[in-house]
Amino acid sequence: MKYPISSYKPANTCSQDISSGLAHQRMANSIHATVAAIILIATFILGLGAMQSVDAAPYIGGFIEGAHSYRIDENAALDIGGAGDRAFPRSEFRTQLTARDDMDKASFFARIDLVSDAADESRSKIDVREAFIKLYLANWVDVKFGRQVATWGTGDLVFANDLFAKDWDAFFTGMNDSYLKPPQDLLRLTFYRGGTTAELALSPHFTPDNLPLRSELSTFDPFLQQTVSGADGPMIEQPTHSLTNGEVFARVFGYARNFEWALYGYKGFWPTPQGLFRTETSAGLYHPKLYSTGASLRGPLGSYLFNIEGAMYISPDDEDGDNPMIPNSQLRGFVGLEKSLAGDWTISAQYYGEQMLDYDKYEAAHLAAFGGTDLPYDELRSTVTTRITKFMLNQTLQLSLFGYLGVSDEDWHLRPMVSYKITDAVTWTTGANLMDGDKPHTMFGQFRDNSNVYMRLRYSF
Amino acid sequence: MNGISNYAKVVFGSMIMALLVIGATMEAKADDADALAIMNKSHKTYYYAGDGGHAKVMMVLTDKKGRTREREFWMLRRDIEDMGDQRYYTYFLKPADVSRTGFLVHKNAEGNDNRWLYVPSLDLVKRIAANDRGSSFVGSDFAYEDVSGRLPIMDNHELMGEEVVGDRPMIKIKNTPKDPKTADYAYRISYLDKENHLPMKEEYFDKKDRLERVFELVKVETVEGYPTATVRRMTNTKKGSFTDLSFTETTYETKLKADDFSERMLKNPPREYTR
Repeated sequence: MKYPISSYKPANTCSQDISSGLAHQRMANSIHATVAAIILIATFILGLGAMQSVDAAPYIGGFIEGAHSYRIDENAALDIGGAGDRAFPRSEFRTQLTARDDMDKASFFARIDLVSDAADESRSKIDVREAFIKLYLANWVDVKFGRQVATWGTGDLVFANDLFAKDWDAFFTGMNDSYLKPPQDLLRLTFYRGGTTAELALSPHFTPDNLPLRSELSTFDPFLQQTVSGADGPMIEQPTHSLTNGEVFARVFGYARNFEWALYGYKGFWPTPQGLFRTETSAGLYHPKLYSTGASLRGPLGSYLFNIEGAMYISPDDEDGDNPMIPNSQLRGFVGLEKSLAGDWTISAQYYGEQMLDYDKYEAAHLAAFGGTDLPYDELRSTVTTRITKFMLNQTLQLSLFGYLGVSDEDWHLRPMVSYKITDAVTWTTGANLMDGDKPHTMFGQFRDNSNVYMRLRYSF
Repeated sequence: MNGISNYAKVVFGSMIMALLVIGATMEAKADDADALAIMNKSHKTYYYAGDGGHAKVMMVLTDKKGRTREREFWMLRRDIEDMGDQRYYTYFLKPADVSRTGFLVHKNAEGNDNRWLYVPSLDLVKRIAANDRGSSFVGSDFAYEDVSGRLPIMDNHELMGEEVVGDRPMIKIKNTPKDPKTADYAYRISYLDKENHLPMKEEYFDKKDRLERVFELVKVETVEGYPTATVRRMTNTKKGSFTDLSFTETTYETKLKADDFSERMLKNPPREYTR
């Protein structure tokens, strides 16, 4: 789990130069849209060409969905100029089209969302969620090339080694869990040798987490030290699109005695903008460089399913931990247990911890730079999660309750959800995102006036 | 003399009694051993035909109001040893919202199964906690155990004679779980085809002798020399619902090895099974 928004407290007097080649996020978004459109067209042409050359009919499917969320908290930060706070964090209509074709030595796959959101027009777009070609080159190697969604690691909505981008906007506004992962452009190579598999995923550019910075949600501004409309939050600079600013993801994994083991590596940037910059003309947040290495283990422990995962996050631009503008290196990890009970019940719990390294230096540097006596970060940040799931009516009705309890942050987030399959094709889902906390800058505390209920109706075909 | 004679009578009488009791016990034991042997034969025929294979399965769930839901999936199997560990892979084609979802089971004959679910929209390989095997298989009237099998050594078996079901003679056997905690029924009456030993009918009873579920083989065909149940029905007599499984494109020839049933298979389903 990471902060959707940085919670650093910068001082007004502080300044730091940043490299001049950083592009603004909105500009990057428009470049992304253009690239996406080109990929979309190219893959469809390629795909249609390929479809004609095989015996089996290609697969076409998808869904149509309406999704609306309604904020149940009054939110003064969003009531700008007395115009009233905007009550719908999301109000969208979405069509997803999926096409797949399998050839002897290759597969082609595309999944495209057409979105129209009345709550926030900036979400209305053609969203190429996946468009890739998989090549089965040899018994010992596969290649997956193109836009894709990637997940690894053992956590349930907590993350240490999964440094693929997350979509916190979708997460907090009532989207299906499958939207937690935004797509990334990756060249993914998978090597097989005996029972061991090695994966290398390369991205030509950095894909940051998608933050809920919108006029329908409030967030904490570390510069103003107050809660503001997400749309008025601090500027966030993205690394320029260059090969040196690409990302490298690596994993080696295997299976022995009912246990899955894995080792991980990453080179790229902090997924959320946890760095601060201030020049003479501007100030904002950016993504400092990040290296990470870690391991995980998952398997049965008595009648429980047990998982443990740990990672070391290295902040190469602040190796000594004495730069208050850049996050220190950290250890992150979690341990979890899950159990299935008779009657289609499943219960699970996880403990997640974030240990800041060089905390003394951080403390000294922070207090020297920003003054005061209050530190925004604890040395150890602890969170406990629980999940209860129950299936009923021949598993057509699902009840689920997921909860985070921020032990050190003194905040919490509850995600109750009910989903019913009215027919094989039509699914109705309703739920809530409830957030609260004692402090305005913590992960869930900053969203304390953004609790919402949502409803979705999906027709799959 | 009389005393000795009486003593001898008692001794001989006791010995005869003991022999009779032992003999009867042995006969019962022999019967139970026969029953276990028959159950094992049946289990092997039904769950371990060939070394593996695959079939396309259409599942239709019908509730008490007659409403139906459908699932279609490929089911792949590879045995590690007869009556031992197995590997299963299920690839869902229908309904649309679960299409492309893969389900992998490493069935451990002794101990809990290992299970993984692949969620394609997240590229997520999710491990599923060891479940009680009596829980429903994808929401149907079948339990996991009905699909992947319950080893006969887990139960005590009692021969109950023969009975004709349909027009075929059946061996009737009562199966009682040795450990009641391992099953969600109290006992089961199995009707095994005398010729090929397939379980043509099974009745599941609760502790109060109430019928809970009935399993029937509706259609049996010979595929590649193996008697194969191609239409199977499970009726839940309490709920008034039933589930039909229809197997097509069945074969017992497989190129897949046990080691192929891995995360690689979840992420790269064998392409002959994705249509």
